[in-house]
Amino acid sequence: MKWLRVALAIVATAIAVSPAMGAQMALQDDQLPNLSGAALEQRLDLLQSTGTTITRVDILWGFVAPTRPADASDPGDPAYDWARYDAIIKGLRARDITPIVDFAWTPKWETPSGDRNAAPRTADGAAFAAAIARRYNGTWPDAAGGTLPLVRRIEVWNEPNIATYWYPQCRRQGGRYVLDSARAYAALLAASYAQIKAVSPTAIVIGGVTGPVGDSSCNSTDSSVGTLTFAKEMVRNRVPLDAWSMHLYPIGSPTQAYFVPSWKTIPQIQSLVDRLSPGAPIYVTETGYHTSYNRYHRYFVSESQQASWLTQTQTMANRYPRVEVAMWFNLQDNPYWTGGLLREDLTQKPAWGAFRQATAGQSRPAEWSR
Amino acid sequence: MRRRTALGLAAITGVAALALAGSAQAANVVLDGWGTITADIGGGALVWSDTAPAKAATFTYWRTDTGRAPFSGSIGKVTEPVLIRTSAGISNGARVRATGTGRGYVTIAPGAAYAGPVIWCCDPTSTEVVLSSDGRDGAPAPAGAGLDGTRVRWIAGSASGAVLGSASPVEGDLRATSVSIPGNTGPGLASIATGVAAWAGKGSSSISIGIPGDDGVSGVRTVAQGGIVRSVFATPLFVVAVVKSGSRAKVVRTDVPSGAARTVWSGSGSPVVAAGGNAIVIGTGIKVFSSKGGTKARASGTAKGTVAALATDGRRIVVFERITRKATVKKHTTTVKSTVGRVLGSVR
Repeated sequence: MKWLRVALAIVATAIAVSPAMGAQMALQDDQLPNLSGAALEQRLDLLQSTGTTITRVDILWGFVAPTRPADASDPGDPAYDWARYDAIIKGLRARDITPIVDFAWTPKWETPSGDRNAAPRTADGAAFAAAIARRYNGTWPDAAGGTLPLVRRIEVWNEPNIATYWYPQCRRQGGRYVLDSARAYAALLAASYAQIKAVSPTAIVIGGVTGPVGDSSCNSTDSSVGTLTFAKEMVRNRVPLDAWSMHLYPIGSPTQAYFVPSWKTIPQIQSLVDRLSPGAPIYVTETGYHTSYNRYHRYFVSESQQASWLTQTQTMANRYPRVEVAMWFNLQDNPYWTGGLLREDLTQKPAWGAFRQATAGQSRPAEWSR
Repeated sequence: MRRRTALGLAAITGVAALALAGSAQAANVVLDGWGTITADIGGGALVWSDTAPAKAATFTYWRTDTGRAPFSGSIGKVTEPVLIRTSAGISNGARVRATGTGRGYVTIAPGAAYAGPVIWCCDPTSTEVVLSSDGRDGAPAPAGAGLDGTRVRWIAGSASGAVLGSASPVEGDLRATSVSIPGNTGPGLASIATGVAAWAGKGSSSISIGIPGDDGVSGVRTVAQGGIVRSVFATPLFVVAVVKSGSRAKVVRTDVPSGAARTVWSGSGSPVVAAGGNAIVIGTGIKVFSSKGGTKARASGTAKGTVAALATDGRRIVVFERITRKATVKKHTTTVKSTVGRVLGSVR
C-alpha cells in the first residue's frame, strides 16, 4: 500500500499548491449601490474587466428600508425598496461574478438617535438579514420574470468593532466604560444565523467582519475593539457561524507586517474560529493599500508599491489554506479612499495590471460558482 | 464610501510611541528621538515637524509628526499632532510653516521617491485638510509651502520642472490648481510667504524670487547667492538662503523689494536657519546667532545640545535641541535620546 500512500501524498501536494485551490483574489466596487440603469451596467462591465469572479456588495439597510416595514423579515413588504440591489445581483449573475453581501447602515427609524452607525435592535437586524436571505435564496420571483439569483454568502454587518459602523462600542457602567458592542453583535449574529438558515438553508453565514483594529481601549463610547479581542468575545458568546471575516490594512508589506491585524494574525484567528466552527474558512473581505495621505488613512505607499504589494497580498493569502478569498478594496479612488486600482479620474494605476495578472492565474472553485 | 478614523493608526502607535509630550503649563516641547525637525512661529503658535524612520521588527517605515502649541513669548500646551506615515520611501523634505491666523500651519512631507502630502491645519472643526497628495511615480514633490494672503501655495519639483500649487482652504475651497513656473526645485529649496515665492534648483547658485498668483509667479528675478543653495526660507520682507561653498557655509539675506543680497553669517558646517519679523536666527552646533534688519549675526545663546531647528517671531528665539539622558527601564540603565523645544532667549 506504500504506492497508494505516495500517490495520495502527491495528489495532496498538488491540491495544496494548485492556484485553483488557493485564495481567490477578488475586488469590491463600493460605487455599485449608487448607480442604476446604463451607468450600473457600464460599471459592472468595468468590474468584470478586472478579471474578478467574486465581489462584495454593501447592502445599505437605510437605503432598502427608508420606512419601517410591517413585516421586516418579508422582503416583499411594501416598505422595502430592493430595486438597486436586484439590479446589482442580477448584473453580477449575468457576468458570472459571485457576490458576498454584507449589510449595515441602520435606518433612521430604527434607533432614537437616527444615526446610521447606531447599533440595531437585535430582532430588527436579524429580520432584515432574513429578508436579504429570503429575497436572494434563488426562489424569489423576479418581476421581470423567473427568479432572482441565489446569494449564498451573507456577512452579518460590517466592522462591528469600530464606532464608525457600530455605536456605542462601550457603555458607561458604575463609573467606568465596559465593552458592549461585542455582546450586542454576538446576539445579532446568532439571531441572524438562525433566521438566514431558516429561509436559505444553503447560505453561508459569515461572522466577525472585523475592522482593522489592533488594540482595544474601552475608554469612551466610540472606542475601538481589537480584532483578536472581538474574536475572543465571539468565542465567549458561542456564536454560530459558517465562516469568519476580517479586514486587513497592514502597516508594512503583506509579507513583513506583523501588527495585529495583519496576515500574520491569521493563525491566531483560525485557532479562535476553530472553537466556534472547526475548520471554518477565513474570508478577508477587505484589504488594500492607500496611495496617498488623507486624514482617515494616514499610512500610504506609492502607486508602484501598491501594485507589488497587491501581488504579495495574493502570496500571503495563499500561504493560509483556510483563507478562501482576499477582497481588494476598492475599484476606484474617492477623496476618502485612495486604495483603488483606478484613480478618481478612472485612469489605471499600476495595481490595475497587478490585479489583472493575479486573477488571470486563478480559477474559481466550483463551490464558489453559486 | 468608508471613513476610518485612526484605524491602522492604532497599530502604528503600538510600535512608535506618540512623540509628543506636553502639559497644561508646558514650557518645553519634548519629542522622542533625534528626528529631522523644522519649526516656525506665527499667528500666536509655535509649529514644528519631526521626521524620522520608525523601526518595526522586520521593516522600517517613515513618520512625520506635525505639532503646534500656543506661543506668546512662552510655549503653551501642545495639541494633538498631524501624523503622516509611509512606506513609500525615505522622507527627506518635511517642512512646516505657520500661517499666521488661528494658530494654523501648512505642512509638507515629501520623500526621495514620492511626492507626499500638502496639509493645511485646520478647518473650523480643528481637522486637517489635505490639499495635495499624489502617489504617482514621478509626481511633483512639494519643496516648500505657506500662506499667501488667503491662498495656501506650494512649490513642487519633478523631472519635468517646477509647479506652483494653490488652494483656498481658509475660504473653504479645497480645489487645488497647479501651474508651471520657471526652473526646478528640490527638498527644502522652496518657500512661500505672503506676496513672495522663492525657490532654487538642485545644485543651483542662485534663487528665483517673485510674486505668486493663481496664474504662476510674476516679476521673477534671479539673485546670485555666491555658492550652492542648500535651503530657502521666505518671509514677506526677505528671503534667507543657506549657501555652501566648499567646506564653508554662509547665510544670505535677499531683500524682496530690492533684490539686494548680503551675507549675515558665515562659518563652517551646515547651519539651520529660521526667520520671522525682520530677524534671522542661525544655529550651528550648540551655538545660536541672530541677525536683525540685515545686520551681521551676533551670538544669541547656547543650546544644551546640538541645534536641530530654530524658530523666531522676530523677537524671541525657540530652539529644538538634541539631548540625551539616562533612564532606567526594567532595572537597566539606558541612554534615551530626545529633542526638546524651548525658548532660548531674544533676538539681538
